[in-house]
Amino acid sequence: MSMAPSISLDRLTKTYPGGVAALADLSLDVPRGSVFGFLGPNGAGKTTTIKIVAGLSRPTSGSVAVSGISSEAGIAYRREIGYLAEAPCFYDWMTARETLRYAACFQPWVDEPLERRVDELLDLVGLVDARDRRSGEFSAGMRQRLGVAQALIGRPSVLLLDEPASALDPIGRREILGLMDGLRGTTTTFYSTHILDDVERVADHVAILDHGRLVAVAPTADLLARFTRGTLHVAIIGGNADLPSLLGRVPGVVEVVAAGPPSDPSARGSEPPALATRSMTVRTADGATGRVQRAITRLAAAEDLILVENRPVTLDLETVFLHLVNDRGRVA
Amino acid sequence: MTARPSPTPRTLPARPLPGFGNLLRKDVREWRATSRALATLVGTTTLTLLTTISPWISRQRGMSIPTRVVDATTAFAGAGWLVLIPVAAALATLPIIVVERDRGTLAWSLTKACSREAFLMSKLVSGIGMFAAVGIAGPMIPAVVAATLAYGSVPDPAVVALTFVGTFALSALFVTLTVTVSVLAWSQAAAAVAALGILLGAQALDSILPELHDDLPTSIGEWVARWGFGGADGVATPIAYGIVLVGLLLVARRAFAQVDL
Repeated sequence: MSMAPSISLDRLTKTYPGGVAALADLSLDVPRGSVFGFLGPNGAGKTTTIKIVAGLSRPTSGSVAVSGISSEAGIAYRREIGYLAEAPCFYDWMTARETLRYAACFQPWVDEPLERRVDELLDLVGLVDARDRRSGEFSAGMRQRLGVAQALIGRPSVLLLDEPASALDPIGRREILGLMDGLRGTTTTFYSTHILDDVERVADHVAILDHGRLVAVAPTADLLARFTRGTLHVAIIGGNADLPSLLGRVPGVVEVVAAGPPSDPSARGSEPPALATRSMTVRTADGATGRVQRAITRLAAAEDLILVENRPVTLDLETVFLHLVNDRGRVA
Repeated sequence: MTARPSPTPRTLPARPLPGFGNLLRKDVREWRATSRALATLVGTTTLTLLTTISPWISRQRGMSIPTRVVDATTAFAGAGWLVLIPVAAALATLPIIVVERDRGTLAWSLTKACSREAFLMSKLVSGIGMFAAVGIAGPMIPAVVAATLAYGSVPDPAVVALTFVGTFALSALFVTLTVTVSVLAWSQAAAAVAALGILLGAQALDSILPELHDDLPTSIGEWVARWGFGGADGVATPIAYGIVLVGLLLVARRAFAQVDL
């Protein structure tokens, strides 16, 4: 895998007539062969970005390059790209097979038999049985599948997918994600979505856009780690109300926040107050998480406390996304 | 689902209007597949047949008709080719670009390896060509047959040929106008109003300032007929026609290149 970016956006700005700013100074490099999730709330500028990369919209300023080819290069640029719109539409009088043949006739540089490629893609997206049906009769999910097939027909180096799984049922969604996963390493997949769970499952890189500005961009694992680093979730049975202060005195602890009131022993009948479970979030200094974790284990043993939980906090992408987009301060 | 590595792409030489041939084949097929060709043929044939035989019908009903329209050639030539058919051309080609944008196929096509100029030229060439076939040549055959049967003689082939050329030229202007206004306003209604406005405006201008008649591009049909019989007195009409046609093309090309989809 080359280190050169597959898609390079340089200071991309898009202002629509009337002064509506859709993108502001967006710079982004998408690694070659990656599955790149592009996230953001409605109106963040995801579709505008994808349309600019697809050559359907012109930026007000800034530049786009795919595989080092500028978007101003015309056909040489377009042959690098396969595009699937959010609501894909085709000529409803064409059958699925005719639609793929039509898309393929624009890609004469792919040196392989047309019909074999068409059949291969129909099989890939599960439309073999519907190949001779007019696309006008297709459900939204079938159109989405056909859209994926036509986007792949020219063997593009970059696949641009705008909400590719939004119209699909869970099985179709899983198949599309599997397809994207299978393309990893050979084709760069740049896709926008609202389904954060899908991004977490399949994207190796993620960018988060909000109000046309890039809020975060990182490998997915790194982004999640960035928000979980230095935070422990601790649950202890026993001790008194001073337990947070006790933990706060452990070297390396920055802050202890009680996650809620102790579980109510009266609600359970006969449990004495000493058996209440206290949950706390413990923030640690940089690089001190492991040391603090071990110190808490020793402290619990020394103080005769029952340590129910003592683990690093793991956040899902949804939490990270909401945190970044809403800018609500510290997580934990 | 699995993916295979890409085969080595072939390098192709740069060509003008890349993708034009594929787009044109699709556009011509679309005229047939969407019944636009059939509807145009039926509409224009009905119009021209009725106007060709209306003098004959009047005579059958005992109504007085001018003597000059009683022969087949005059009845054929006076069948509204230069008035009704250009309007029909504008109406038949109203949707060819606007509908593509509304249903999303314009954006889809433009992500393929074709240029915007190729897309626009394909729409124009297919619109003009298909209309010439089904909106002009198509109704001319039954009109000639009807004139022959009704008036007892075959219309002058030279008049038929010149009527075809003149109607074709005028229809091409109206198709280009329709496509240009469609690209500028993205509205079928605006394109229809513009086409009718030009037709009626030219007629109004003609009645107010008749000395400008030969300078109007909409006079191209009559100029072709006069030229065919050696009666053309200058080239002002074809020059005006050419300037307006090229101007419309340039405006459409520029507007289409800047469209955000």
